[in-house]
Amino acid sequence: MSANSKSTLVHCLSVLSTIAFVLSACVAPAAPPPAAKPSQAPAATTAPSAPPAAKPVYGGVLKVAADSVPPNLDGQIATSIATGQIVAHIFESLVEFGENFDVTPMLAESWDISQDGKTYTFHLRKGRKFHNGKEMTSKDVIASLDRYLRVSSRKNQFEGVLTAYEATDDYTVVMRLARPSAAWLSTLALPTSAVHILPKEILEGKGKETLEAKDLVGTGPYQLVEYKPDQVIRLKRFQDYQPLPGERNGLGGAKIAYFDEIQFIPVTEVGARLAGLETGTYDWIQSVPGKEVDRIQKSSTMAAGVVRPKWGFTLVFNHAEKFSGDVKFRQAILAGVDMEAIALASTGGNRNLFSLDTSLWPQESIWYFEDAGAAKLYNQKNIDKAKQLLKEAGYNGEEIVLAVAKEYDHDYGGIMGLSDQLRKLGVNNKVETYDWPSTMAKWQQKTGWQISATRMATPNLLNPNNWSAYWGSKATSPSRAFYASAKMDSAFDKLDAATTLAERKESLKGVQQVYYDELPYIQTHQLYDVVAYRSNIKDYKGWYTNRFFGVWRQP
Amino acid sequence: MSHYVMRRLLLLIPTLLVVALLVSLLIRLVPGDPVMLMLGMDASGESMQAMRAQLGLDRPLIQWVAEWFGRALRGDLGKSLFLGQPVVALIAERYPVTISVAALALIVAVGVGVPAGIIAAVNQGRLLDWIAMVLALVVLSMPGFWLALNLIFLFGVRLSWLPIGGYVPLTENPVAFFKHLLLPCVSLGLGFAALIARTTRSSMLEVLHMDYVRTARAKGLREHVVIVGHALRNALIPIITVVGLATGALLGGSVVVETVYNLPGVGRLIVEAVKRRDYAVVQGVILTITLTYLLVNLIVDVLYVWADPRIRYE
Repeated sequence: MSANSKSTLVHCLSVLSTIAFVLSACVAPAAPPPAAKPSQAPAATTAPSAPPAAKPVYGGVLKVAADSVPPNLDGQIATSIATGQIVAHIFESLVEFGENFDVTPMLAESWDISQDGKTYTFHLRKGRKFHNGKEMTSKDVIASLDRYLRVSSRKNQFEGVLTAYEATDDYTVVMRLARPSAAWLSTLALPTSAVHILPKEILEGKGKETLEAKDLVGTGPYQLVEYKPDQVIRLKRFQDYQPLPGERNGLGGAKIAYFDEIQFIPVTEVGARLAGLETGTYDWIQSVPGKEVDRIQKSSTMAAGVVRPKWGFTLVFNHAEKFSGDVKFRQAILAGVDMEAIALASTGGNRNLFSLDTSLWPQESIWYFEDAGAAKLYNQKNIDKAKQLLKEAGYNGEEIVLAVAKEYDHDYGGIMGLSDQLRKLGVNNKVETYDWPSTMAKWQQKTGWQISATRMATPNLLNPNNWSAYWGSKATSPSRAFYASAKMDSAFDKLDAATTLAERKESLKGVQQVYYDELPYIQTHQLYDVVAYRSNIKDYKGWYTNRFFGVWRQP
Repeated sequence: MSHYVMRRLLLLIPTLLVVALLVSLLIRLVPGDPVMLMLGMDASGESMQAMRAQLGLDRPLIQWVAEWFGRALRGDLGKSLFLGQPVVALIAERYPVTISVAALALIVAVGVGVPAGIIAAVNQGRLLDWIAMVLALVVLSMPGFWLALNLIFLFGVRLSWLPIGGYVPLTENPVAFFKHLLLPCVSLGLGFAALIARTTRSSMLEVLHMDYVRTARAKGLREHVVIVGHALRNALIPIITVVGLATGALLGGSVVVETVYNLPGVGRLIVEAVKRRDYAVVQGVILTITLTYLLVNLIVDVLYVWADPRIRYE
């Protein structure tokens, strides 16, 4: 038939146009809708579940609807929160972060620090068993450290610091540092790309590859039994687990596995997560929009919990562009915008899901401090001053591009709030939306955008020294967006050189001072996360990483 | 006819090669770094380089595409960067879900659309015609995503009649299989039912006014024999065309429905793969969907001959 080739071509082209449409929909800029106005009647305060009225009981399956698929469960490699919240149940480290973000013992029962601060001697707990039944000893710790230094995404924090490590007997590990470091224990306790301890025999012969599911053997209260990452990840209670005495304490303390099984089911669509919670298909769901909190709280079958602190809402600036690269321009934004308006836009109008702080570190953290100087600079809402600073920056109505990942409601809402605020300052702007990978790629481009937004998590809260991995002049993080400052590097160096907690806290003041002087980014507010669960799920307490030990179901 | 089918099957090969080449180039040109997504923003440059080398992403684009083609021709579509499984296995595991959804949605679309179109045509200008066409317009105007969420809310949350998502294989429990797929298939099929209804109506209206239909009625044939046996048969060509197009679109529509109903099909797989720049999965899934789409079109062309014996392929 003469029309055959034509027909095939038409089919081929129509398939390709569909493909091109799918791909372009993921990356093409789109016209944004107007910024949402905050609700007049804010949602009621949510709180962690009330103290149990009954004694906790063992048994049952907890179905967790997660908002994303973890890239893998190799906790030594992955820095993703999606991985972190699962592997926190499978693996343990020598030390972990406690409830108040201090460092607490886990597989190490205690440690000694030499007089010069350069030698750490860890005394391991005896009788801790891996999921394969073998007892954990110092040989496993050494093998785990060996592999960590080959594969970890954060191994650069060890380089130049850790000079040697050895097992002096079955239950003692010695680490020698090049210089005293008050941050050393925090570095060992990070929950993502973590120094998890795995059995030596599993790690032997392994190179830099990601571990397969069969090799994911830890000492935690749950063990992996099924790994279908985009369908279900099933953990079952590890019968030989011995909880530490005392209370649950962050990722340390008493970790009691009440549930027989925990299933992590990725449900990426928020409407499906909410419907699943309402019908009882899921017991616990992640990333609940702020506007849903009221409705959930009024329900007799559901409860909402706030995870605080969680993120610092961060405006990312392109330091290679004319205006966003000018500190006067950034100062104008700091001086003129109403931080509360941006915060409300990022939470769907819920006033209980954020706090406005001059400190870069949240009030719940040991790193928080009052800063009188910063108080004069933060959230001034001084439009005249902003306009003067814009004039000094040479700004004259040029279009400023705000680039944001549309799939994250917080980021998109916040940038819409910023867009609205910038217009009040006379800054002509337009919002361009992308997907998350494209947004990160945009940050690595020197032209075509000026401001973006994201939420910064772990390093801000758990180990401030890791902040240099984002804002140090050698940082590979795209959020740095061409910022490089000798002053900031020097402030980070002082932080790294601190040998005591007091010195670290003092050094952080120096970091914050440079932040306010140079504004590499602007942290507009502390943003909280919302989770929801069936009301018969008891003793859930929101913490930085979701954890389900100590949580149980009331029959 | 058999020569024609053979020739069309052979033509699939160059078509698939062109599609594979373009998809491979397009997906790598989309901004975004899968390694950064895997390791996180604060990962060291050295770790990222090591991971890129491990995954072969440090090679020049042309070399990367050539290597993929070399493997693909041997039936190896590569390994998912994130899921760590061979792409062929991932597709084999998930395609039955997508095919089930698309097939049942097609049954809904044809089962509702064709009768509705016939009823509207036979009752042209009357209340039934008006109701059918207004309903079709309303359903056509509804975004599939919105319809899906509302069906979940009504039948899953409020009435608790049907599960709100998930999948049970047919072989495991046939009743649960249909219960889990009913809402997704209705969500997906209704929009196409409206399209088919409108096409059927207009095609039937053309035929119903022809002389041979008048003759059939004059012969005293029963009305349903005239409508189904004589009129519908000759009105089928445009309907088959629309159904063929709908079949391809149903596969595409599975992207939304599988996400909303949390079905483990290739639609959700490709959404996640594009989000995470899981190149091998995107390449493999699009190639599979393209092949299905081309086969459906071939079947449609063959059905033309059945519907209208005057059509001859040489």
